[in-house]
Amino acid sequence: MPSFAIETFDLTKIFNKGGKRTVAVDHVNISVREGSVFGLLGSNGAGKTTLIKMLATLVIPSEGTAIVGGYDIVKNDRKVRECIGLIKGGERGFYYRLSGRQNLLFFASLYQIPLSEAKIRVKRLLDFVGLQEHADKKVKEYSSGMKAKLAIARALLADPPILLMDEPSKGLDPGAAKKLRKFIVDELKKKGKTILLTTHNLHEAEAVCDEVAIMDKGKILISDTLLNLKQSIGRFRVLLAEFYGCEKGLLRELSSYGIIVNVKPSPEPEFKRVLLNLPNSNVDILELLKVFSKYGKIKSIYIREPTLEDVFLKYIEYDEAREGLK
Amino acid sequence: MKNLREVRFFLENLLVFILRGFITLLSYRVMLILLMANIAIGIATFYFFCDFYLRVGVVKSALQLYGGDPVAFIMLGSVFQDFVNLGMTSFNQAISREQVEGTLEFLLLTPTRLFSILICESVWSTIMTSIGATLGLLVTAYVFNVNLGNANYISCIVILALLVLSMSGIGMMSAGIVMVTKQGDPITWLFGYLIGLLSGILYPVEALPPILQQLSYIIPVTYAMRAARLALLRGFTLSHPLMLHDALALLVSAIITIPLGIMIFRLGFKKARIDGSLAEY
Repeated sequence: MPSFAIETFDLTKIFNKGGKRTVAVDHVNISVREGSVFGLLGSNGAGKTTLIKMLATLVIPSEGTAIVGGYDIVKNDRKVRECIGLIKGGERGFYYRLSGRQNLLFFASLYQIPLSEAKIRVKRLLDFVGLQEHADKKVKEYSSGMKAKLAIARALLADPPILLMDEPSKGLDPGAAKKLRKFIVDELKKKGKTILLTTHNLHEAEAVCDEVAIMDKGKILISDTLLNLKQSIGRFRVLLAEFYGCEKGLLRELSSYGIIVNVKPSPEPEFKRVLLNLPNSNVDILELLKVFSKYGKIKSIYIREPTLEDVFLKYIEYDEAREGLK
Repeated sequence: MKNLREVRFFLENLLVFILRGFITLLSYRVMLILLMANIAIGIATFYFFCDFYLRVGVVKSALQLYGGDPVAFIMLGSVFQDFVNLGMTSFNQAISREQVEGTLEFLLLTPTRLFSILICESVWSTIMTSIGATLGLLVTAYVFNVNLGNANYISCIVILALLVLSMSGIGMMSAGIVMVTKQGDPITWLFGYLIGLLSGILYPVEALPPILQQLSYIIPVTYAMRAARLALLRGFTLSHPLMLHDALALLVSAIITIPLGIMIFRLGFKKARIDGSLAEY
């Protein structure tokens, strides 16, 4: 039996503001394994932040509940807070006129860590996140990347087993975002932390997550491991670039395999780009190549695995299409 | 021609700034209503102030209890007013400050109770207010030549502590409300202006019409102003019947307002968690 650090049960949040009813999170059920990195993917306004705030006990759910670190977020909110560290992307959240070290010592005091121990722990954490050289600089002088590191250090002050990260790379340049992803995988995951991370950056989710859930309009559209999600939309996607020959004959024969075929123009006028979506692993690639040879010649071939972006677009489009039918 | 264009653009800019301010103000409906009410209360306060001090004969007899010096009366009133503001605003200002910094949610995630955090924040404000009051007293004594030779500072400190305590109940209510309304804080605004009008900070309550005089004795600040002035200007100890009466009135008011303040604060905090607006400001 897998052990879950976070489990939600029909978790729902409805906001009533100015007479307008908005369902921000709609009967969400997710399970996050202990020690795993779980990504919550969705566009802006999908309900990711509201969900993470409910798990952090900062927002009270309208319906349903969740168990975080073994405690109910509604009945044992104080106990839940002892198990979690929250990391929010963006610029705010620190006392700008205090140094990084002073900020951490201040929060350490509120985490009821004795000063002598706090000093040691803060130094260790500053080293851990790579801020030792900037520890005594005022936070107002920090770059966005440095603030992101400081946010991680603060979340680790009480050494909680669960980290909730709300768009941690928000506002970071690509270099800093890459470093942060590496840090999550190389350091935090190694420490055995369970991480729930919200993002709309598919590349980020692909780089760090073991499992992802795709969220749209407050609902979870699908939740699974990255591998299963990719397989759910097809084993391979084959791009056959620059085909020259009898296009009609090729398309007729390929369609008899049950393959979706797209033909697009190529930069070289005499060639065509043929894109095949292969739905399962039963299709023999060599056999397909023989079909191509039969009707013309291939200049180049490229085979790639589906990306999380393909998965995301498929499910978001599917949901939009379904909404359109209503 | 070029200058004319610049003037036109400047006037257009002026208009959009005014419009922006107006639209923002309209979005804070509670604040707008209070702004109107406070203008009216402010005008009334200045009316009573001028009306009282222009009647020379009346001033002397009305201030006899405090030694008869109008400068001493006004200066001490303004020094003590800082303690009224301290009790009333330190909690909600602390909340607003944390909301603006974006740190409130992170404070709430620590095992330290929000209430303890607010108490710690208000201790800092108390230190600052006390330093300000000490400087104010020095100016009163040495610049305005007010005689504080007989002052009983211990009695004054006890009275001011009771004043802060009784006002902090109202401060907690205010903090609870500010959690929900974000900017228009009705309790602080209303009490702030009513206290200025009714509780004898700038003029004795005897300067008010009889009905307002009766109202003034519902407000704890009225008792604190009288007792603190008597301690500093007449050297009264807490055993003096008038001082004892005023100290008890402050204590009773603290006993009533603090539990009520805690209750309203909790309700406001819960409402902000339901609305998901804890970090908004």
